[in-house]
Amino acid sequence: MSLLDLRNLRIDFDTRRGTVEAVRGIDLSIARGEIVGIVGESGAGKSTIGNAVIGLLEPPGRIAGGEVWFDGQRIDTLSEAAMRRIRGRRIGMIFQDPMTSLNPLLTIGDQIAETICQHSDTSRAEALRQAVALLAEVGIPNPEQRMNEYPHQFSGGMRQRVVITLALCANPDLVICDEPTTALDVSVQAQILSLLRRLCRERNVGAIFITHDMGVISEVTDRVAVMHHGLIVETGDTQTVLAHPRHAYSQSLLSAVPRADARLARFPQLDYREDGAPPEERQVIDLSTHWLGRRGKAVQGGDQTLLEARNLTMRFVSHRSIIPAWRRDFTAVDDLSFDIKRGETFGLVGESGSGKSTVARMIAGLYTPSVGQVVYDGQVIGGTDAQPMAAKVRQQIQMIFQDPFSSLNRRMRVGDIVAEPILHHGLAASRSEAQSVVADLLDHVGLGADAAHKYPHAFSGGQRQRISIARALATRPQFLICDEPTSALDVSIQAQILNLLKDLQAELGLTLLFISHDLPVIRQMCDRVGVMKSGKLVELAAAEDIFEAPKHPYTTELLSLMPRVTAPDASEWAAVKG
Amino acid sequence: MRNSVFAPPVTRWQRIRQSDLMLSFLESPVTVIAAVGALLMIFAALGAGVIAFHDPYDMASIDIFDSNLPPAWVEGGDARYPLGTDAVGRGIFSTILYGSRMSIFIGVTSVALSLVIGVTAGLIAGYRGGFMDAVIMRIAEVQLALPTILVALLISGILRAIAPPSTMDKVAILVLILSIGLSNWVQFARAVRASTMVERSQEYVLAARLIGIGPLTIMFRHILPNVMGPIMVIATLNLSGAILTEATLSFLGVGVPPTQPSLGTLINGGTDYLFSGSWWITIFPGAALALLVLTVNLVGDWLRDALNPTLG
Amino acid sequence: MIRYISGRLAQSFIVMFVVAAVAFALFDFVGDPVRQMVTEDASQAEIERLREMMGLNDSVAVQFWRYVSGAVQGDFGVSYFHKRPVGVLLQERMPATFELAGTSVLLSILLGIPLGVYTGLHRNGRIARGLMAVSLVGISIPTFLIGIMLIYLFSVVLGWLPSFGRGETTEVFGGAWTTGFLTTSGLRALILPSITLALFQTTMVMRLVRAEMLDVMRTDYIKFARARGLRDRVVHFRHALKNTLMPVVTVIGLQLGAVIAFAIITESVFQWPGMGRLFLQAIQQVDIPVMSAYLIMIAFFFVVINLITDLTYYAIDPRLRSGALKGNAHA
Repeated sequence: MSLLDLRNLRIDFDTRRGTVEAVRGIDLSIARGEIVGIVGESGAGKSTIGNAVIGLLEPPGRIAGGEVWFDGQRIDTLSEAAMRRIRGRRIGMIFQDPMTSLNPLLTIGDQIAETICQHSDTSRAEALRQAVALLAEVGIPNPEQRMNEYPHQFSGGMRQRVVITLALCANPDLVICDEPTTALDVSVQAQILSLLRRLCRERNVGAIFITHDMGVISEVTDRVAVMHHGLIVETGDTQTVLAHPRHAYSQSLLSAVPRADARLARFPQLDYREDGAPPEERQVIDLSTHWLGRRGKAVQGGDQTLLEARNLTMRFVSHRSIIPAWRRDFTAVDDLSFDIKRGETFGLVGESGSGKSTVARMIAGLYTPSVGQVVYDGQVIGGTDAQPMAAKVRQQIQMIFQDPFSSLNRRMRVGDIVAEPILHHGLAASRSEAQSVVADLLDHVGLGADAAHKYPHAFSGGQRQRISIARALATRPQFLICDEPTSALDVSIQAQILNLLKDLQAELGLTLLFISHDLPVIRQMCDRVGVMKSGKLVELAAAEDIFEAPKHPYTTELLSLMPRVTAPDASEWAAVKG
Repeated sequence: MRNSVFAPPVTRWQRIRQSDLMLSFLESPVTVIAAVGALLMIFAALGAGVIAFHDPYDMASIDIFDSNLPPAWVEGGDARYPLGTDAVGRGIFSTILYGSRMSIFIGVTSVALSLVIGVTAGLIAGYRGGFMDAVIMRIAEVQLALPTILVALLISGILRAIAPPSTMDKVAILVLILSIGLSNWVQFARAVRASTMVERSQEYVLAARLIGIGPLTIMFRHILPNVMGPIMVIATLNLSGAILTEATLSFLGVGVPPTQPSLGTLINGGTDYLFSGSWWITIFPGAALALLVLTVNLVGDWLRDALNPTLG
Repeated sequence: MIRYISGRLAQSFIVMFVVAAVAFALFDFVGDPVRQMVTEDASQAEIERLREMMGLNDSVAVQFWRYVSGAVQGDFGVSYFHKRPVGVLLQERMPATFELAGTSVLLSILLGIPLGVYTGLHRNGRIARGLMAVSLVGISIPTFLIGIMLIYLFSVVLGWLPSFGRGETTEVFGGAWTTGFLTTSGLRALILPSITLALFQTTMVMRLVRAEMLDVMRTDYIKFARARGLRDRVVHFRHALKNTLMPVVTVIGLQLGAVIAFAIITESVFQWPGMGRLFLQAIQQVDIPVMSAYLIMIAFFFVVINLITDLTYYAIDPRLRSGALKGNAHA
């Protein structure tokens, strides 16, 4: 008999502008000790399922139909008091962000002990003893001592171990993990995933793994359900679904996952649309006549160095004080040197806190390096003794940011956002020319000229990233810095944006500095790659060498931790575009 | 955006009508009533000269024999004076209209003053950081140590010491506006600074810097529109606060001179008669003040919840 | 710990220094002390001699130093109007103001926090909405009007309570303090003024606690606490309330300072013989030494209260104790 049974579950959100059907009737069952993944892109409705099962669906969300059965009992109709006895005791839950999941004002031991005491007649002293044992079990060193510490004294990975302890300390039969490793670095992610898998196996606990990450699904789950727009489109044994997806949406999702084993010219794209409309073709432009071509001559090819970073070092003040001995700073980037050749894509890869974004910002001129220089086209543009950047150089270096929601001014029309650089640098003869250039640019990044009249909130994350790209192109740059341009996007949107960047680079002869924490993405995009760790460059080599013959142990470690999705053989599906 | 290159395909009114703010406004009947009430009172005060039955500060139009009349519905009342008259025969209804005109004028101008100072200081402190920030925030801290009423009293006291008493009446209103305005800028500055520090690190600001746009343009054209929400909330709530402060100062005898009445001086002037039974001289101006402040507060409260549910 | 407190202390000193400078400027430049002491027809030589005698011809720094060292010892000069030392005047009136302000703050905390928690937890409940409406009306009526209305009702119409003054007082601590707490008439006299003063503060505390409570109830750790099946009581009071305390402590601190200033109004309505009324008279009579002394006193209270507030943070928040609240890390 299954442990959890969802029968035709429907979840609605009543909003001011009508009802949104988040989950449109799904059936799913989980057996004791089984790990089932729910995978889908943002807005697919996967997180609401977890909240609905545990009875914490927040208004305006509500269960609009169907039934939830747990261990032979129907639980969606239970009273709040009865449900509270199930929460924690029978069903545990783990949330995405370990940094905000713990009460900052209570010690770890307090939080575990109160949860144990809540669900059994254990004395506090006994609960504290159990807590020590549990913390040891999830791999926290010195549990006796760390029990008395507060959440802020733990790192992100350690906090997630504490969260896992809290979710499992009352011995539940089912645990719901809502994106449990999304906020973590890849190395920590691997540890947490194997810990969760081990604990579920040892304790014979059923688990629901809600994630957008195919890698996580392939590492952990026994079965997987693929969700799209509130429906489960495909369910099956994980390895089977990953290797031979049957539904067109699963196929498109899998084909968009960047491969770590070989570089492809473009992402094969299977544009899945429910209405079956064909994808639009991009217009190829003639640079000799186009506005974008009217820039300084780009010298092509050769080994010519376009940008050089010389001994870049960046120190941030972490504690200000009048008394010098009390001042503290930390070195985010430590003596970094590399050069980028004209027309290539240079990648920087590293975990969070490795200093890669700081490098990008120093090169862009947003930060002044504490030591070292940035040299662009033979000219020193960044450094303590550098001249302020001339408008001509300023125009040549543009950047695409990580967060599509904060990178556009929400109070400006899209057209004005893209027109701003053109008007600021006087790149158009008249306002009407600026207008037509903007329309053309928006069209060129695949948005259509009509987008100019709207405000950013009318667009999705991927569309906003296209607007960002159009704005960056509007100064006619030679050098484009892409700082995690797709890490906030769904995987199929990521594939589209990366393809667009590849196309634009080929078309305009752009030089790219591409920054990412995601190794497969780096492999797909970059010619040469620098690996960063704690502000230092540990290895610099051609992309093929980094992936096939890594020299530095850290690179090897990163590669080994990378979750691998066995890429399905796309040739068996009909609609894949190369 | 003022100089948009792109003509909107929908009219501004359509956009406003369909905005979340407007929808949430129409969803809250209390707010709608409050807003209508506040507007009615403001317009009535602005049109005091037209609406009032007589000009209570025109000696020719008052009659000493009409003094201390109770409201019209009480025995002995007079239909010409619906809310009764005061000790010199001025109609209470008319004095309230003229008085609230003064109160609203002082409220609006002093809030405008604190808004301009506070927003500018907050933008600079938040965007520039470092030394400018430290200086502005220290000044704000000192200012915070001294509550509004106290600062206003002090400023008024100092001016009394410097200026000869004969000129006091002429500058009294200006003094009042300055002292209320100068003691309230800190709230704007702190809120704008906090929001600006968040906006400063937003990627759209970095993008603007990469284009080469100067700090002033970034502050006023990019950041300012994005921090308007808290500014509007504080301005509304401060308007009611300023009207209250004006009334309080006038009550304490350091505000508006009795020759140019405000709601505060009317209430103050009436207290002497309260104990002899002429309650209407104090209670009606008091009620008008409370109603005005209450409606503005209701609108401000709603605005705070509607614009940002997490704003304290 | 030392680092944290020394930082706060340094800030307090800066604030006090600035306020002292303002008070000194007021004392020395605005109110020319000599003008107040001589008759209209005094000769230039006489004035000059007096100036020299009072040290008014010394450099500004020397005079400022003299002013500050005097102020530290409680010497703020002589009142123009009362012709008595300002320090003594303040000392006489301080108990009245402190007893009034203290009672009001206590009232507002004891009422405001529970009401705030209640309205925060039962956001859409009928009683909570009613309380919120009442509180909004409460902050919309000016303090002086509430005082007048209370006097009209309880003194004029009903005749239950006195309408002015402090009632009988007793000297305690060897005459250093006069208290109204020990006599029936003193306590009766305290009721109306303290309610008047507390009403505004209560609504402020209540609305703030409610807003903070709503904020905290939305956080992930509250959701996680509920997902672990913890009882509502535990979630609300052990997890949520403690996290709302920081901002509440700040505001209560600010309120304490504000209450002393707001007491000016209440004291004026109820003819309460406190520092506020002294200050108000000083404004009307342009009694500069009293004005500047009062200014320094208020700022001093504020700074002390602020310091206590900061130390309370330190006790509440473990993150401060380990100095973990530093600038954002850079990616």
